[in-house]
Amino acid sequence: MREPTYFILAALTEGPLHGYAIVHEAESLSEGRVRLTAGTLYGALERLATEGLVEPDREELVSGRRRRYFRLTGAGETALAEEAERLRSSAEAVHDRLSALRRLRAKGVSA
Amino acid sequence: MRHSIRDRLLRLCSHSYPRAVRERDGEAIVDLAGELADAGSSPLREAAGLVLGGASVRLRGTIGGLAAAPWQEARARVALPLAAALFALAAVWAGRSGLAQAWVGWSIALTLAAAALALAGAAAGHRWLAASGAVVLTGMLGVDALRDHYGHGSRFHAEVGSALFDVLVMWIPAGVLMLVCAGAVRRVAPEAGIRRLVSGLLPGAALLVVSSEPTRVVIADRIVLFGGFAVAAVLVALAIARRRTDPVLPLVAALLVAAVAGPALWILAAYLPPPESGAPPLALAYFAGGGLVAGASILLLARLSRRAQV
Repeated sequence: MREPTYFILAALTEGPLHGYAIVHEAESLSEGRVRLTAGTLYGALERLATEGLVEPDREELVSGRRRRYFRLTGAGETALAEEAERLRSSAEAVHDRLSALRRLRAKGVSA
Repeated sequence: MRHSIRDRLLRLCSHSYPRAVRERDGEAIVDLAGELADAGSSPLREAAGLVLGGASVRLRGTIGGLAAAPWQEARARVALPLAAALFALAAVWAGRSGLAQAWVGWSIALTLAAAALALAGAAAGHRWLAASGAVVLTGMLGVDALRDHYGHGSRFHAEVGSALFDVLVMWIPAGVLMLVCAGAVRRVAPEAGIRRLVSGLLPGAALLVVSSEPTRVVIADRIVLFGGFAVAAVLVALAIARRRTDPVLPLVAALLVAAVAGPALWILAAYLPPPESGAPPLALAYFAGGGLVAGASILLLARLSRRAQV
């Protein structure tokens, strides 16, 4: 799963969100790494909807602007959980290696 | 950037999306882009995002449309005429090389036999037979290209205007296409297979006789080549005109264009000034150009076919 997709799905765990809120949440969750444009967000939502990971919720008109809400589906939640677990386990493996390396270095320095 | 100009720019960029998407979601996408621009995103970045997003939706639609097109049926229909044309090519080569008078050598005999095998496979609807013939035939066309590349010269030239063309090399794309089509042929009843085989053999046999007697019947290469291209052009026009009643026809035309695009460009280029020495191999340039023409025609004609089906 690509990073923008991951953070779009993660943003929707808050509940149904409109495009602007998804962009804002994804940017905030990724600490500024994922900055989506309307075009990329729409493309990603279309693809995720086709794959059954998100679905349209409702549409509202706010200050003359059309806002379309999307929500996470059960399949989307499962896919997100699996990806989060994969990332967690990958990070943990690297973290363990780094800890071991640092312990070795610390021993070398003390010897 | 002023709001009115920005909104106009975003609306304009949203036209990169297909009409159906624009009608359904266009307002929401443009409104979201405007909202993001209001919140500090660069309007030019949003505009570029819309253009790329639209192009990506179009690309996905095109790929999906191409994949869903009835290629199996089109390949099955092209196989027999293409095999007949390749057999005719091999027959003309054999005839010009003096098959009627003496043994012409293994390479010509093998090419003729391979073309006949491909034709028999296409006529009977036998995939392995057609594919085996197509592989050997294309291999022999490739051998001629290698001969030319290593300075021994192509063994079959055609004269168009003041230029000489390597005929066998020209038809390598058609050989490859024959291989692609061989995988789609379907078994037919033995009587129908024989009828199809005879009808496929006839043009080649006639050309073999004509080309074996160059002193009696002289047909300029230019007439044969341009005649062939004219037939392809008529087929494309016919396919476009009859796409509603037969949506497979545009795909058939697209495959034929793919087969003749390289040679057509090659021959048309004979009327251009000759390139400077040290230029890249012309055959490669014409095949690359032919590939582009073939790709474009496949996209356009497959789209016509899909619209006709809808």
